[in-house]
Amino acid sequence: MIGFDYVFCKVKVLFLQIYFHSMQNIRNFCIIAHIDHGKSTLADRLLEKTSTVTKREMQAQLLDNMDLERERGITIKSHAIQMDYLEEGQKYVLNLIDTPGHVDFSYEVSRSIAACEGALLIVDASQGIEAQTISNLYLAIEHDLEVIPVLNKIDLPGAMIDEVSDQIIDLIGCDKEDIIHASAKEGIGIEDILKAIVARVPAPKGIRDEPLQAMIFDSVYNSYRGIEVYFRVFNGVIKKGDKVKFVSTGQTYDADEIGVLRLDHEPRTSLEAGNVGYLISGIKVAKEVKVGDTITHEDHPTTRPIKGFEDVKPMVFAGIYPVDTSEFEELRSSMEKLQLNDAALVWEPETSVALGFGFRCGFLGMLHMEIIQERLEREFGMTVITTVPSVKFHAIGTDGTIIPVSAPSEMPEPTKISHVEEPFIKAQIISKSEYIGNIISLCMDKRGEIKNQVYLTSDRVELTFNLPLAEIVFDFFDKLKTLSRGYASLDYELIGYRTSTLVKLDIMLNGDKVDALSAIVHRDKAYDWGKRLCEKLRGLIPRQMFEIAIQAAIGTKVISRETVKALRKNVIAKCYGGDISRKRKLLEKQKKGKKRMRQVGNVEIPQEAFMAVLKLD
Amino acid sequence: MSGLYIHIPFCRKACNYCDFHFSTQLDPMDRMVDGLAKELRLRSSTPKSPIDTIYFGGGTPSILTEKALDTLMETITTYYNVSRSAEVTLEANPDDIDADKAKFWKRAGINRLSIGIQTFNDKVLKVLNRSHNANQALKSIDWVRQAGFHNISADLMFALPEASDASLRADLKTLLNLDLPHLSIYGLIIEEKTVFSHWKIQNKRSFPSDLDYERNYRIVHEELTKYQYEHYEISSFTKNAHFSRHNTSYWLQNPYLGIGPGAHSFDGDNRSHNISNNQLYLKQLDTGRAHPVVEALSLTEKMNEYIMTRLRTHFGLDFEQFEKKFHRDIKNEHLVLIDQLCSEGFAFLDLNKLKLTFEGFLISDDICARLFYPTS
Repeated sequence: MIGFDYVFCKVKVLFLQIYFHSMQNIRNFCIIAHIDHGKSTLADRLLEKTSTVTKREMQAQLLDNMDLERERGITIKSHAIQMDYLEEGQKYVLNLIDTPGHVDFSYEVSRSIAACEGALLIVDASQGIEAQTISNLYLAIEHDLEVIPVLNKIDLPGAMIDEVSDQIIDLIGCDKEDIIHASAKEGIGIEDILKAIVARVPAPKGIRDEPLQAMIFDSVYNSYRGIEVYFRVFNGVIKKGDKVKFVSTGQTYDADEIGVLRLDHEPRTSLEAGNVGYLISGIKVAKEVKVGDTITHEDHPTTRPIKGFEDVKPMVFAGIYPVDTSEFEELRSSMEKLQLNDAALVWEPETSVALGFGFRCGFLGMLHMEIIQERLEREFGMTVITTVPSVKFHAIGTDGTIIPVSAPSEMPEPTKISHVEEPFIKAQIISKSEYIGNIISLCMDKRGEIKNQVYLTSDRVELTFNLPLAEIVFDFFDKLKTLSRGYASLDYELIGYRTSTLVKLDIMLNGDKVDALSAIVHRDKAYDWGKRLCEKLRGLIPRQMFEIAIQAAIGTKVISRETVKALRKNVIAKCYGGDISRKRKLLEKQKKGKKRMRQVGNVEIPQEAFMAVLKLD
Repeated sequence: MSGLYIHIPFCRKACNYCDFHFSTQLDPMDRMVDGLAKELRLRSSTPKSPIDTIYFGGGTPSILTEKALDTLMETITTYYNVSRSAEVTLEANPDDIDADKAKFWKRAGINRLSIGIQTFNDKVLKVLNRSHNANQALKSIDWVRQAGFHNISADLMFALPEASDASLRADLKTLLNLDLPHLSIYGLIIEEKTVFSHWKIQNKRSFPSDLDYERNYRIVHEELTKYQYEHYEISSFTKNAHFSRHNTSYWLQNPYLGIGPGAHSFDGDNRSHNISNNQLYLKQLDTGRAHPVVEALSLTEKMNEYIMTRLRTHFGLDFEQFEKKFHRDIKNEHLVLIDQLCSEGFAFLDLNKLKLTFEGFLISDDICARLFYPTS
C-alpha cells in the first residue's frame, strides 16, 4: 500500500507539473477581512472543497499554526497555500496568500496584496465593514486587484444583508448581484466563491522568457532547514539549483529546493511566471530575507526590481531585561534565535541603572511587543521585564542637529536642546454613529485633532484624526474597543514629526531613581500621569520589610508621592510536628514568587510594575 | 543523639482548627497500639545513635490506656538504646488528666508533659471545639504537679476568633501565675480542610486579621519576656533553659524517627513520612515492613532547611557551620541584606551567627525566602 501511495503521489505531481501550470489556469488571490469576520473558517472551507486537505487533516483554523496566533485569533505571519480546482473540465491552480490582520503588520499586508491579482473581501453580515478592512481594501484597489465581495455569516439571526450590501456597493461600486452570500461555518456559498475566483480574478500576466523577477512576500524559520522564503514569480522561471540573488541585500544563494505549498511542501524542479512557491537555500538569518525584496538570477538579473519595497521600521521601543540578572547571556541567545524568524524585531544591548544588562528593542507596534515577550517566556522559558514602551522622539539640538530618542535615558539635558518633536499619525476610525461622542472625547484626551468625519451609511461613521503616536501605543486601542462596545476599528499611518512640549517624568523608590520606570510625557499630562502611576505602583509593589516611598518627579521637583507600608506579619508559627519539608516547600514557593521580582536598592519590584504605565486606569 | 516520635492518631473530637492526622473512631485503638509496637520493632535498627528524646504526640496521646502506654514504653526500652537522661514527653489534654493518670504516667517513665490548654476563656474553648474548660485546665496542672512532674509545658493560642486583647492578657496572667518552665504559644493559622477554613470561606465567622495577629504576638512576646521567659524559638518560650529538647532536635537537624500514621522521620539526608490513614497504615504493616514515603533532600533543600530551622531559633544561622557543611559563603552572598536586616532591627549578629529579633520573627518567612537558594 505504501508503494502504491508513493507512486500515485509521484504520478500526480508529474501530471500537475506537465499539464496544469500554464499561466492561464493560475489564480492568485488573498482574503481581506476584519478579525472575527470569518477569514480562517472560510479558508478552511476552500481547502476542504478543493480536497487540498481532508476533514481528518483539518485542524480548526489550519492556516494559523503558531500557538500564540491561535490563542489570539489573529494570523500574525502570512502564509500561502495552493489548491487545485476543477471547473468545466479545466483544472485550475488557486494560490491563496494569507494576510495578517493587525495594524502592526500593514506593510506585510501590502506585500501579500502585491503578490495577487484578486482579493476576496469578506464582510461579516452582522457587523458591517471595519476600518482595517477598508484600508486593506484600498491597498487592494491601489494594486488593481479584482475584488470579489463576500457577505459572510448570512445565517446569523443578526445578519443585516441589505444594509451591509449597501456599504459594500458604496465602497467598491459593484452591483448587488456581484456580492456572494456565504456562511463559511455552514459551508454555504463556498462553490460560488471558487467559481467567482476562476471567472473574475484575472490570470497572471508575466513573460516566461524575461529575466527572473520574483517578489518575497513572507518567510518562515525552520530550525532544521533555515529560512523558507515565500515568493511570487512575476516574470521568468526559477529552477532548482539556480544561483539566485536578493536585490536589496545583494546576497546570493543556491536554490537548493523550490516547490509549492500545499498541506506539506511539494518540491518542484521549476516554477514559472505567475506561480507562487517557496525557496530553501540554507539562509540562517531572517534579516537577510526582507519582505518585498526581489529575487532574480545572479547571471541575468532583472533590471526592474519590484516596486514598493521598504525596510520595515520599528515604531515602538522598550527595554527587555532578564528578571534574574544572571540570565543575561541566556536572554541574548534567545533574542538571537527569535530574530532568526522575526526580521521585524530589532535590538541592541542596553544598560539600566535599575535593571542592569538588557536590550533595547524596536517593535512594529504594541501587539508585536507583547508577542515577543510572550514568545520569550513560552518558547525560551525566560522571565523578562519589559520597560515602559516609547516611540522615537526627535530632540533638536541647539545647533539644529536631530538626536533620536527612543528611551527616556537618551533624552539630552534641557539646556542642550532647542525643542522636541514627536511622531504623529493619521488615524482612521470607523464606528457606529452612536459612539462618535465617546470616540471624539477619547481622541481629544489623547491630544488628537479631528480632520474629517464621513458617514459611510446612516449609522456608520469614518473619523479621521491626527494623533501623536505616543498616545496611541499604550492603551488607546483597548479603550477605543471598550467605549464603542467593540464596534470601533482603527487603522493608522505615520504622517511625520511635530514639535511638542514633552518632559521626562522620573519615578523614585525610597529616593532612588528607577530609570526603567521613567517616561517621556506631554507637560500638560505629567501631573496626572505621575499621580496615577504612583497610585498604581502602590497597588503593585507588595509590602516589604521596609516602608517604601514612591515618588514621581520632573527634574528635581516631586509632583506626587505614595507610600507602601512595611510588612506587618509573614510568619507561619507552627512547624507541623516534624514535617519540616512542608514548611520548607511553602517558603520555597514564596521564594519562587520573588523570582518574578526585581530587586532595586532595597525594594523588590514585581515584573508587572514595569508595565504599570500601560494600565493607568 | 536521636529523637523518637510516636503518633497517637485518635481524638475524642475534632478541634475546629486542627489539620494534624487523627481519627475520632476510637474502636481500633488496640489494633493501632499493636501496629505501633510492630513498627517500633521493625524500624528499631534505624536510629544510628542513642535515643535522647521520646515524644508521644497526636492526636491525643493522653487518650492511651495504661496498658497501651506500657506496651509502647516496653517495646521502646526493649528494642532501642534509650539514653538514661532521655526526655520523654507526652502531649495531654486537660480533660484526660486526673490524679491517678498523672501518677501512672510518672510511673510509666514519662518525665515531661505538654498540656493543651489553648486558652482559659471558656467561650473561646467552645468556638475551638475543645473538650475541656478552664477549670479543668487549672486542675490538671495541679494534679500533674502533685504527681511529681516539674518539666511541664503548656500550649496556648492567640489570634483566635471571639478572643480579645484583654482575654489574651488574662490568659497570659493566668499562665504566668502557674510559673511553668516551658510555653508553646501559637498564632492561629486557618488550615485547609478544617472547620475554621470552611467557616472562613462561607463567611460564617470573622477571624482576626494580620494586624490582630501582629498585635497579639507582640503582647505575648512582651509579657513573657518581661517575666524572664526566653523567646527562644518563634513559638516557644522557656524559663531557666527548660528547652523542649525534642523540638530543638528538629531545629538543629538531628535525626529522628517517626512511628505511627502520618509521622515524619529524618535521617540527616532523607525525610520520610508514613501514610496518614489508620486503616492503610495497619494494612501496610501486615506486609511485614514499614512503608514510609521517602524524599531525598537535594543539597539546595538541605541548605534551605538549615536556613529555615536555624533562623526560627536563637541558635541562629551559623555562617561558619554553613560554609563547612555546604561550601557556600552565605554571609558574603547576602551581605547587603544582612546589613539591612541588622540595621533595621530585624536581626543581629552574635559570634558569626545571624539571629532574628522579635521584629524579625514577625516576618521570618519573608527573610527566609530571601535567603533561600533557588530550587529548580
